Amino acid sequence: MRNSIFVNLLLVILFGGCATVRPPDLSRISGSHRVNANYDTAITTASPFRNFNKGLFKAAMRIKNKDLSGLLLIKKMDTLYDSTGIRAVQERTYRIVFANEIGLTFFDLGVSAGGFTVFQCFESLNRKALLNILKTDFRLLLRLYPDDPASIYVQEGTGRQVIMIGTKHSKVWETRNQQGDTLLVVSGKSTVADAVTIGYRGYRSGVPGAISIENPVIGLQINLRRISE
Amino acid sequence: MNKIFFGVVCILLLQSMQAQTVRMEAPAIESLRSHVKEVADNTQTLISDFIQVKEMNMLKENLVSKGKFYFKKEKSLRWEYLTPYSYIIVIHDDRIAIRDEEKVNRFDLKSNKVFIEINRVILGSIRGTLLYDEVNFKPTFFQSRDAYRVDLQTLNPKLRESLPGIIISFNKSDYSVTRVEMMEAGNDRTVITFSNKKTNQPVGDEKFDIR
Repeated sequence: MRNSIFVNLLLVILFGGCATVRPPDLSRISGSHRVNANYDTAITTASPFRNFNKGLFKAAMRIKNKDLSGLLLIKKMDTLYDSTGIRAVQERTYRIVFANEIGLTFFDLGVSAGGFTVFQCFESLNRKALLNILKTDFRLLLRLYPDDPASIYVQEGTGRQVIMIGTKHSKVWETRNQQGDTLLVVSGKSTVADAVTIGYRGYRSGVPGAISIENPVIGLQINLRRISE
Repeated sequence: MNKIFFGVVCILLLQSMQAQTVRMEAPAIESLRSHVKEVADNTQTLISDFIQVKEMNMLKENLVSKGKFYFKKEKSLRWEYLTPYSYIIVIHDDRIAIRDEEKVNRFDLKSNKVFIEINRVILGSIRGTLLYDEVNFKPTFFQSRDAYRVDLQTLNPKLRESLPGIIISFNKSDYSVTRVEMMEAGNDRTVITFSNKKTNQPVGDEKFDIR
């Protein structure tokens, strides 16, 4: 029994460790620490949720071959409240509520760059490991990480601009179009288990119409399709 | 001026009398239970429109969905959502099929604990049979002029974390379920109101076989 757990753990670490989030075929632009003239413009124009207040998405979540579906609401909040309703932190904060079609809440989370609050979570999803992964996923999705420091690359073949943003605990790779003004993919990981790739498509009014979030190590996939503002 | 004041007072009093809800006594509770059971036993099919409002208090947001609902005994359900987007959920023979535009996803209800629990609660609420589930719910009975209301306090600790209570309202004239309120943690709630109900009308099996 103990051996089996050890082998499983080893496999997760081995395969998890191999889960690369760095886009392939990159050439660094020489001396590229914020040298690209378009970089500052790109940072502001290519942040899909920067001027976003709220959006309703049709959501499908698959975790370990279990399917959940419903509506996912993302709303920008002025203030993050803790679970007792007391004001906790004042920073760019989003509430993310995922409810099934019948209306029952699967999870209700508060996410900011420095905070994470679980307001509600269905019992069978209320696992620390899963919630930590969702925290990383939504922080990357909403671009809740620092802009600096950054290195800029060009992806050979596609000509896409790729920006690597190194944070204290993790690295985030942003793949943008050739002009650098539209965010196409964000990938990153802070631990072995939370490697994630997020794809943005079908922009409308600066907000993506379709989003795919993939966590290959734990087999979590979330697909979102925006249905209203 | 006095007439207007008198009129307003009369309207308020009338509304207050209509809305007055009192706790039911044991004989009335037994009568309600037996009528609800009788209706559930005799309902072979049910077709109804529904409006579903998910109220999120802290977010100050309501999510409103509308659609058509079909039930066929023993436990076949079809939720046909028309707004905010077209979507069909069918639960039949312990299997769930979800049609989202042209794509149909099917899975075994038994493989998904979340769905097993939700389906049991929803089916029991709509049929009124959750009144008898005293292992998982403690009922308190009320009545107003037009409706019976049963407040179900969730006893099952795991379910209580997500769903502390359910309020089911029954039509006083035919004992059918008119409204289901699912109270959630954090004072959020989902209210499903049924209208244009038709019982024991033919409902073809194809309604529960989406392709």
